Amino acid sequence: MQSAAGWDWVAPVSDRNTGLWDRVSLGLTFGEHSPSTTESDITRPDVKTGSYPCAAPRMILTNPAVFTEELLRDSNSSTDQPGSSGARLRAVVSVLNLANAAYACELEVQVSIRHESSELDRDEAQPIITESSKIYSVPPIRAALGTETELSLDLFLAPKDLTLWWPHTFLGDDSDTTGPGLTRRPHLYTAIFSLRNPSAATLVYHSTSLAFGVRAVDSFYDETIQARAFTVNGKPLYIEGGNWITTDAMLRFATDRERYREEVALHVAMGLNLIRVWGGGITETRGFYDACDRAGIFVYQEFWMTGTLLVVYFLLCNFLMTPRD
Amino acid sequence: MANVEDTLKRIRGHPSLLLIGGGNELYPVELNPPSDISSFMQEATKRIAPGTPFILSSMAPQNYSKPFDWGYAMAPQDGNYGFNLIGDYFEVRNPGLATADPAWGEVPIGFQPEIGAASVPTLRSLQRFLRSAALSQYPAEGAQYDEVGAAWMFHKYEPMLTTVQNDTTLDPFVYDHVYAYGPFGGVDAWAMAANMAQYQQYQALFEGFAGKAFIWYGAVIMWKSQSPWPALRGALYDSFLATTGGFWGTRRATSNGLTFTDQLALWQQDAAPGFKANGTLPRPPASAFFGEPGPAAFQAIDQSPLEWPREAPARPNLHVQVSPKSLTCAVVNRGQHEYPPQLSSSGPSTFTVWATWRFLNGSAAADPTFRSVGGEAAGRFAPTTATACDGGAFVWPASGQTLLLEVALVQVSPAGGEGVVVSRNGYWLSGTSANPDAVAGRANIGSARPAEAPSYADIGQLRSGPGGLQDVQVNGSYALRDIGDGTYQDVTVAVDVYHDSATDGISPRAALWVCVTLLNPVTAVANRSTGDFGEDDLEPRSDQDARVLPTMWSDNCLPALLPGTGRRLMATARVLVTAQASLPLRVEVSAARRCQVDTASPSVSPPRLCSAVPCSLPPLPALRALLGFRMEREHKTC
Repeated sequence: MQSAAGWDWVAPVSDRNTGLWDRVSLGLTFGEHSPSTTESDITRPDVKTGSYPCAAPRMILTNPAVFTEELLRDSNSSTDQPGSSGARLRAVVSVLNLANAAYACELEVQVSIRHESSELDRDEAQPIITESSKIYSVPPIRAALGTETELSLDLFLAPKDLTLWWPHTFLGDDSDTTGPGLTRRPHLYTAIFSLRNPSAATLVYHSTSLAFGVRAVDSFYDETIQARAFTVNGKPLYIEGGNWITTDAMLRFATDRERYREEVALHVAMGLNLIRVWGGGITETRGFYDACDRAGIFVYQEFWMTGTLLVVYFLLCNFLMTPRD
Repeated sequence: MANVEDTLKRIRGHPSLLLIGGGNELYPVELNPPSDISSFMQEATKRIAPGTPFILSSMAPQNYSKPFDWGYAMAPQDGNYGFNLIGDYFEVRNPGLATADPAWGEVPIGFQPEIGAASVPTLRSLQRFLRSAALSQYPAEGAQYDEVGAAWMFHKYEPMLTTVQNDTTLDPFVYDHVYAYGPFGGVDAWAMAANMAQYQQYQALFEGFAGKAFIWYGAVIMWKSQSPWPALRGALYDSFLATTGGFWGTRRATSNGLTFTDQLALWQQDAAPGFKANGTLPRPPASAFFGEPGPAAFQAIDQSPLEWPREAPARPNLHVQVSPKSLTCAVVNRGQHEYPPQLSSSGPSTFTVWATWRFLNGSAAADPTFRSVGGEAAGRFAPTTATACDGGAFVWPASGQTLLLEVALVQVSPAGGEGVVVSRNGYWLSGTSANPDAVAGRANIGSARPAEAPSYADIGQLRSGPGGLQDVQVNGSYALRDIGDGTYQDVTVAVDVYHDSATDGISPRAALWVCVTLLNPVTAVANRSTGDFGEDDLEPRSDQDARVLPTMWSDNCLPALLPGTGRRLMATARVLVTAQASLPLRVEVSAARRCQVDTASPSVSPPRLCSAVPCSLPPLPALRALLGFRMEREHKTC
């Protein structure tokens, strides 16, 4: 975190950039037939049986994502708009084979509608009320030892199942009441990724899930303002945002989902529709992004670089002074 | 590079991810960063997070010899980072930058990644990180960065000054946005004025930019909206999650400004009070502005706030605003649809913007006037667009005065009949019709002070006058919702803030800057998400910080409440539940003077009334010796 060197809005923090932060866990592997002991975020009990995948090859799914490939339109329809003919999605996930041999497996992705309480921003305990799951499968793949393989699946959401994700400023005037479960909050789906034995479908090697939204964002050069501008689901987006460093100069809240929820909610209360995570801070952690997904606020995420001249200035003026403490 | 790939994989699945940037203010082009890094980032984003725009730099200074490379950076310049005259936000392209160098007024900066300045927390937060000795030496008028005490400098004090140079043959005039409200009797008054100045400044910033949406600008991003550390700049709420004046100014600039009563009228498909048909054009009575008439509507809250509707089914995302400089009005539609959604078969709705002016004592400075907006033919507001009012500017009714201006956008359906308020807004302004935000300042700093220089000092006098404003009352209720946590519960609070017209021998005046705070004295300091900062607090005090933070208020820091009117406010918060049977929440109302009111509440969860008690500003905590704190020692060196 570059701003640990001090900036014109924060005092330097000596040695902030050393040591561990964020969630820390220790993982153990004992070959291909050991029980799971890795980070709870990665290895979860099978969603159906509640049991850990014992006696199975050590396959781990990480970094799941569902991209909106295209919002399909029907130019013959009078109500034509992005998504009126459904959406093409692509689910991707990395699979890590920790066993000492290659294995064939089958990937399954189930999508269901994610319901959240409108009163509370706590969806963890909310049951999935409607489940419209569809099973897709890929041919067995052979993951090589110790390497990460990226798998993908094409998905299709029919118009009746499709409700788009919008920033919260575009939900307030919403006369678009199509789609199930419409609330004032951005619409999210749940995708459950399961990796199983292709010849014994009940044997689930590993599963993981994520919340995702269906939306198309694009950017274009606007001739009038002579700058890059953005659209969401085909609508031009006027951005009113706030610059964000991180929750705490000492990174004490980096694992605190509640803190993220509250800070993002404060941005929503200000009517802002974007948070720029500034390059002198950190790439924010999952709790931040989850909060933004749920609240309907866009993120402009920068990598960890800032202009050279500034860094030289602050190193000389500020950071070298801190050892005097 | 492996780190870049990991990071992209981690964040790529989030619908909120709009844009990935290589970094902040990276330039010169091709040198910073080296091209192997930048091209790898570009390629990795395309491969791992397909469809997500990647732009290397937030800003790279424009090379005038060739067109700005918008594929490399988002903007050719960012800033400014200081306070501006509020009218400039509406009338000047790239305000602040163009003030310093008029050439910037010609340069397109359609995506402004950073603009914004000082931010002073409220007094209770200042007391969390400045000792009373430092607090008592709050910044003097016109104090520059290094003209304050070491503790203020350590916490990155930034002055709220604008340098005005109308005449280049003279020294510039330095306008102090805080001391426009001065003089002050203490840091409490200074902090209040600093928050009022932020409210006005950042309301103007977001309104002014929105007024040029897709004419000059496609994006404006506040520098900054949050702070990871208790700083005196760069935050709209502070690191304790307490809101500042800038927060409420921003919210006012981006919202439709409807009151609870307005919303209720819309939910019930009922006309807002005061805009019943009267001939062809609904004309508002005086009581339609600056608060709901009372006290009849504010005698009691007899219903649990949880039973009330929380959000309107169809809320117009319209915002009515007035340029404080030209006094022209406009309506911004921040929604994704045209408003109204459908044209009625009987024709377009009629929209009018009503303006009413008040003196600080609440009396009318002029009759309400209106401007039509939206056009007779169209009668609709395009999305993400500002629509200017027809018929020219409003007229400044009384020179040299601080005036309160409230505007309301009223919609009348094609069939005529009742008018519905679909947006409200308000300002306090000082000056003349020629130059309403004329440089105001109490003292001459520099020799070129403009001749017309009224200030907001009459607001300051209002608050420090004999008797003060002890007649702001509240009543309220709350309801708890068990979230199954065992330790925390969500509380919903309803509070009526009512400004009694009875005064102690002084003519009634508007109550200004009415702010409400939720307190939970039992759990002072130990707020859940702000962490236990207790050990970091500088001085143990009898009045520990008992604020419930954050508290999400429907509205707060009301700029003005006229005598005999009130507002109903709602709030939600998550509170620590102790072993005690009761939850002694309190609501503190501050206006010109701080007013402690006990809303009280025993274990009964149904609503209860609360009563007002006389109040006075508590003295600042006594000076205590501090041992071993490193702040002052360190900062003298740099």
